[in-house]
Amino acid sequence: MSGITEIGRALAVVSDILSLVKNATQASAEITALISKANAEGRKDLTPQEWASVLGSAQEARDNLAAKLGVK
Amino acid sequence: MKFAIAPLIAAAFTVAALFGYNFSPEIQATVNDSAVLITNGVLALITIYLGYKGSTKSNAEKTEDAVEVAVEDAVAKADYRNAKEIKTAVAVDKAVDKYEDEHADVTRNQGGFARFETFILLALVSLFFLAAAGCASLKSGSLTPDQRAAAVLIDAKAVANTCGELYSKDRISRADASACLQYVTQAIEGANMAHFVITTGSAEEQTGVDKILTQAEEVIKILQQVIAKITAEDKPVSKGVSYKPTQPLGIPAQALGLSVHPIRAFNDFVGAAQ
Repeated sequence: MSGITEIGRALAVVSDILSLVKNATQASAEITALISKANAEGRKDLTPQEWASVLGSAQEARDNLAAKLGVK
Repeated sequence: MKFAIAPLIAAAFTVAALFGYNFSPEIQATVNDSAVLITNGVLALITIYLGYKGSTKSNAEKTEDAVEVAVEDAVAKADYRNAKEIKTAVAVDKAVDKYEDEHADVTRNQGGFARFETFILLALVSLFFLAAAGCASLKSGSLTPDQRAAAVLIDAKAVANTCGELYSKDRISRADASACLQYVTQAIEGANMAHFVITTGSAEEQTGVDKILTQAEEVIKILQQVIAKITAEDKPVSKGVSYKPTQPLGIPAQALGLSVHPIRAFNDFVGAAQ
């Protein structure tokens, strides 16, 4: 295998890792923002609207994965 | 061409793991335990050093390998005289190589990383990233139960997205993607159940919430770790042969025991936790 091919495959993997880190970092930031907002408003729990938004978002991601697999 | 770029990539990841999260004040507010990050960074450096040291060979070791091959070849051809001459001749070379290895610091730069070792290292470094991210997303001690449930949902979304991306790129099999979907679904159901108990249950019923959340968090955490490992491997599923459909995503039996699957009757679940 040529060196260029080798580097290309390595870069592809690095790209996937960066995508993974991006997803994880976005999740962390999202959680922190949610908590900061609740703390700022003196709440311990999420409002029904916040919960619906978070739940809907997670279910949408789950449904997208299911759609890729062709299942419900 | 030797794959000399690998140490640079690994080093970059390590530096980012050490300092990257300091750039975000939002995450800083949650990731209070900076010792975890520093420890992970030090471990990453040690791993990289050991990986580099272990993946390179000194001149003496290379010569020794070559000698073995040459001698075996000569013996195989019944050329015993030649084999003996080879051994004698290389004895001098080995002595010189040994001297050079002991007195020159350039010999260690010739090996580079083997590809397999590179990806193992990248896998480890990416796990450190996730550990750091996990500090923020799963730091249950600093979150209320409802916030923990929300964190599970948000992490489940990230996992589902990542699984979808990996499946689209042919990096995981359909069986593994289906397993990912199954566990993401369970985590969502667990978090939703916890939220339901928090908002509607009695004080007695709420004592079971921690167990429900811990199980859901454990499922997500293991999914994150396994996905990080798969992501760092150079193994398109169409070419790889090591996937085992009977062990989707490599989730250990212990983790399955901790998962919220199968979702039991509500009263059983809460009752078992008490």
